[in-house]
Amino acid sequence: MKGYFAIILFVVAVSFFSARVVFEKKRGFFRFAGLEIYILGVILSFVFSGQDFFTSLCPLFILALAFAGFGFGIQFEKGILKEIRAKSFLYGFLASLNFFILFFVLHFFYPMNIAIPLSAIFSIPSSSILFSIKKGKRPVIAGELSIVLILIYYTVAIYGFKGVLLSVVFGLAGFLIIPFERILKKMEVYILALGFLLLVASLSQMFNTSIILSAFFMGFVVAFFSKPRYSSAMVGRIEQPLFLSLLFSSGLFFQLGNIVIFAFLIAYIPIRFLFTFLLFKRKSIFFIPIGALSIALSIETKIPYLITFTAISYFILLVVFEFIYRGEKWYT
Amino acid sequence: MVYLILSAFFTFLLFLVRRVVVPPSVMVDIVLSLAFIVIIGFFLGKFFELLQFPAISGYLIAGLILSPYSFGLMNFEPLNNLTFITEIALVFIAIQSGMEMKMSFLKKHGRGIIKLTLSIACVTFIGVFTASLLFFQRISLETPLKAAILLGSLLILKSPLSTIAVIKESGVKKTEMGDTILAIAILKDIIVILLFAMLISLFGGEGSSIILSIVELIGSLAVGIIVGGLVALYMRHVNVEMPVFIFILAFLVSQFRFIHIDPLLVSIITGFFIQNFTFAGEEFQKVLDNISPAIYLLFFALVHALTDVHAIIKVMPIVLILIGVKWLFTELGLIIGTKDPIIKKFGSVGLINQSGLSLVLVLIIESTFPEIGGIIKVITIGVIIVTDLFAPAMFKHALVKAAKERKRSRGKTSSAP
Repeated sequence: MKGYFAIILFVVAVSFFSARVVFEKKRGFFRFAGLEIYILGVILSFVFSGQDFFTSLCPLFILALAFAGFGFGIQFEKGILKEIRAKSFLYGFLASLNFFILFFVLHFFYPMNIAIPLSAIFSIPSSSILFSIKKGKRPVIAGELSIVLILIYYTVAIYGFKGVLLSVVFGLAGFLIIPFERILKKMEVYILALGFLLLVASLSQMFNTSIILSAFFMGFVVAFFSKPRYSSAMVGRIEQPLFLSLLFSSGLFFQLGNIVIFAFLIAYIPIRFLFTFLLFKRKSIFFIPIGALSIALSIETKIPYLITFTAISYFILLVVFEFIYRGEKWYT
Repeated sequence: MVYLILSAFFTFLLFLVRRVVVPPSVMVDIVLSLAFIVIIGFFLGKFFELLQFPAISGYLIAGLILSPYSFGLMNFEPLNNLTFITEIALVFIAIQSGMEMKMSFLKKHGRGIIKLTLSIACVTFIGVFTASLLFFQRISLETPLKAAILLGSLLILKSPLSTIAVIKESGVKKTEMGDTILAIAILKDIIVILLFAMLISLFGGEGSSIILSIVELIGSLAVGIIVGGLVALYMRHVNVEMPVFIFILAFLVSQFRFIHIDPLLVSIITGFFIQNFTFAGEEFQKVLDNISPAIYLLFFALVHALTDVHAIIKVMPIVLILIGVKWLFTELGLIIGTKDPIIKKFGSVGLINQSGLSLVLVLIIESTFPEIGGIIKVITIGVIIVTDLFAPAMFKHALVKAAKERKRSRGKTSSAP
């Protein structure tokens, strides 16, 4: 049987790469280049079933989660932090309240272990979409700050205040990377960062806190205390592989399960749009799509149908955003 | 010294973590084990580099220290779950080996290299076979002749991986000696893979016939060419996220064994095809060079983390004898096979350490011939460990010395009236 699986794999691989050849030129915001990675993961989830396969690949999932948090944290260089004003904090805090609004609605329909992650997943905007806003830094900074606050709310809700404290402590591992940035070659720094990310991720799981928040603090430490050119180079290098590994990992957990949950998505779009319109007016459309962090949060729950729902929502919301963005020509 | 202190610190940290907290699941244990392997392996590798040894020696030591057989710092289950990484690494390394075989070099030296390789392989086999046979007869092994033939074939192998890594680390690139040693290593791999297929059929394993083995080999060659073509197409039309692409490719190729296609042969042919028959050789080589440090670290550390040090110690006397015999007969093979004085003088050092392929073949022997597989496995791993400890460093020095002597002799030749 395994021989046939290998043949299927080969066929999938050829199709996958052929699809990339066709779609590579049409990237834009609609990540066709991500969709086939997700589909590859979905197909592999049928080909390789069973606990052994997932156990072997767990470093990949966990590294993807850690990368998501780290990649987000490493954006907070000193230069960006200097641009934060009191108003950005205020807008960021107000935007983060979306988490509580969603939770208030969702907890009537779902248990806490579903309602809390869902609230976080759908209140966190896509960092990369936000960064595409060309004029006006306030929505970008406010959006980024709201993501940090929502991650903290999520961690407190699931793991308690102790979880946040532990995440900060584990994040201090970033100090072990900084001295080596200047004396090691780039690839060597990445290997070291990889090792520490795995360590932080495993310690987070052992001591019951969020991998994503711990890795975020680690990325923040590296960005804040090292020279911008080092951390910027690291962001650029890991962004794509991180995103692909997240999509691939979420595909591996494919399970449709509770289809009713998709009804939530229909209500979500206008609610989200209205809420952020009050704060950011025309730039509120940039808050509609969800991003890598949302996918990572869903994977952290380890609930397959939730992961599937998040991944599919990600693609749908991206299409909606693309439709509005191009249709209305809301260029900034 | 800082690197050694950091290695010791993290080893101690692992010891503390193991004592204080039990990982809640196997998955967490896997990630924890991998984290410490990467960190401790990295720091020990840097420490050994500062001592002018190859970083590979550091990775090897890290693996042995962290092995569950040594100090109980890690458990077996998580390490066994990480073997897919070594499978992927082997494919990657085999692709790199194939990439190093350039047609231009073969055309220039082809007949000479094949003659030299055959000379070394045959002479070394005779020496190792004889020594093994005497040993197996002494310990009253069930089928000493079969065991000696298999062990003799295994110990012909030389590590292309180690050769590539040492050449890169020595900073002495594009030397005739380096190219020659690497070509011999790769040719030996191909010869032994072919030989092994015949031997397994001859001695009777899993009911496979010689004809089937030949069909499988031809199939592997064809698939290797197809995969190489696909890689070139991808690089022409897409050419993004190459490390991710290579990871997926290596994973898929490693699964080919389930359809009786040899992943190692496919990988070598893939690399050879990309280098010599497509435009993508140079660019693909750069991508491989970028990700190779991580691959080497994981491969060497993980492989040696699953090694039973105590069993190795018991067979150490015969291991040392076989290494000595291999060295001596390799020297003899060089004397017979080449007229180049520099390769005769320095070449044997570069041909001592064993190949990662040996580990794969040893596992095949163990499952196919359980009555003799155990002893062959322990001896082979012993040879790998001992030669990995000293041979890369000696080879590195030999490369530098050979390059200097070659330069000097060319200088003398050009200044001669």
